[in-house]
Amino acid sequence: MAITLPRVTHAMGVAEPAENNFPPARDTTRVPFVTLKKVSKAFPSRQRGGGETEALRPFDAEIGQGEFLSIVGPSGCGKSTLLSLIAGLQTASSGEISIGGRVVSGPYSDIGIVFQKDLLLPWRTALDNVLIQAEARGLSRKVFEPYARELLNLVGLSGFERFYPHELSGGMRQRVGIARAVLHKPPLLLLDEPFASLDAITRDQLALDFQSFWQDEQRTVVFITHNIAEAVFLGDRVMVMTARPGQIAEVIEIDLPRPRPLAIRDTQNFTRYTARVREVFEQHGILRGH
Amino acid sequence: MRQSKVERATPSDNPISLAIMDGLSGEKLAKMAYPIGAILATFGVWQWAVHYFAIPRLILPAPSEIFADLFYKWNIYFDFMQPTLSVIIVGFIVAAVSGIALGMLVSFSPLANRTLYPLMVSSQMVPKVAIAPVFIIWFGTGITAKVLISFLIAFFPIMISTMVGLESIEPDMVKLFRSMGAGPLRTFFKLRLPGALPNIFAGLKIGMSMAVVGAVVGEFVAADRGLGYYLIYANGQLDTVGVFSSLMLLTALGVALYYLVELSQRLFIPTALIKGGDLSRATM
Repeated sequence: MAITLPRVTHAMGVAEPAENNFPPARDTTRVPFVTLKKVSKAFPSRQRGGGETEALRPFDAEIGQGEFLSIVGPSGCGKSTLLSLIAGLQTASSGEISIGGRVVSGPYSDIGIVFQKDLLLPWRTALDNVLIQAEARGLSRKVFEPYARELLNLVGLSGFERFYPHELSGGMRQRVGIARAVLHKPPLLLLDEPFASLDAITRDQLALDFQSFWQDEQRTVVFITHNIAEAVFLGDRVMVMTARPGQIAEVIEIDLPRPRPLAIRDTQNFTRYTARVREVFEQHGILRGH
Repeated sequence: MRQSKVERATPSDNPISLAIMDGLSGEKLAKMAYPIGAILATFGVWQWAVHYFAIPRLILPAPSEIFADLFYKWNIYFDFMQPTLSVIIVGFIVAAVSGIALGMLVSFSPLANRTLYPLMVSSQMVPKVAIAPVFIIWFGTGITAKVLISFLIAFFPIMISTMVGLESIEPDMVKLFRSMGAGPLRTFFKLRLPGALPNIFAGLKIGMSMAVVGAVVGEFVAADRGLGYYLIYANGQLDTVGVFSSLMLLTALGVALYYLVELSQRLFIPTALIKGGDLSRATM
């Protein structure tokens, strides 16, 4: 399970932000865990006789074992579709997806998912909401209860086990959702804008906490966001997607040491990456400068 | 003077009620005080209006006369309450079981949704009160016909609310359950059914009040016992007090049964999730 994080190759503050002297997306020593081959997705068009709408243009991608992959893009770029495809909740129009060597066909349950909405069951307490992961799989509650409590403690919610979702804040609810997603120790974690509905401060805190949580566990994470800074802050790589049709515009290797403190976002090294992402958006007309 | 008579009827004067109240928190007591106060005030105004405007007993009896009638003829009323109560309860149970079952069937089977559901809806457009005589022809004047009428009126709201409850689950929630490897059965018992419970109980509450209506309608058409029968009988005797006594008793019965549903709801839904006691809504 040893993964090699890219070494820091450039000294802080040396590079000019305006220049594009990025290390090209290199071959890393990552062992591919999720493989997508010529995957595409098209939906039948709403207009009569309109044929199909291309949601995702055919693309290849690999997600390494233990990698934290951020996917950033505007709404409508198909990033949620991509996540659904990996989870097997939607079928690709073409191509093949495999996780750990197994081809995905139908809902793939050896994963943990966190959605933008916390999707907690209102009639269950925080602890019971985490344990639904075991119950839905037909696993014993008793066996998983100690670990569920441990996870709640780990996400900073010890003492809130008996609270109902409506008694918790938005951030706390999302933490319960994260604990639920990992109860069965899935090797792959998919997060679909998990912090999007939270206020900026709670959002930062959760990103920070999630980073250390991930570093302790070292599982493969696919993290979808529309927040550029969040994508760069958390990701080992950032996959930049553009809309209409949805496609991968660029994959950027984020060469920043971990654990990354929030203050890293003010360093030039960090802003170089965010500037680069913005530049890709500008090149594709997603963002327009004046 | 009249006022004091009404006040004497408040539960706080009753030692047993006092003992129960002692066990309640002040907040709960305050919550109950409002609806009880409102009911008492209504009786007070009623009592006052009857005397002030000198309304003849034949038109509108005073509450004191109604309560006196209930007190003195309690044997008869108690006797007549039992057949009505059994019609309501049996009718409601049949309606609850079949309403919930059919609601589930229609929300799960596309075939049932396309065939059974329109049939149900159009059958509801038949004026149920008007087919009561038909049931009497078919099933006689025994309990069967009355139970059927009560069931028929109570059934629909229960079925519809079950359907609505089962279908109101967020699609993302279903997605989540699929990703957790839950099959249709587990998704039903862990997600859909518990999610539908508030709706189902809302339907059961409406169904309960409908079952009371159905039982009375059944007794109007053909019966030799029951509160509905007594109401018609008293009406024929120009005994308006008797009419109002039966009405009062039917209302009390309805409220008590409504609360029984409310209480059973507490067994299924965590108390923390039920918002406020709706004592005031129950008396509607």
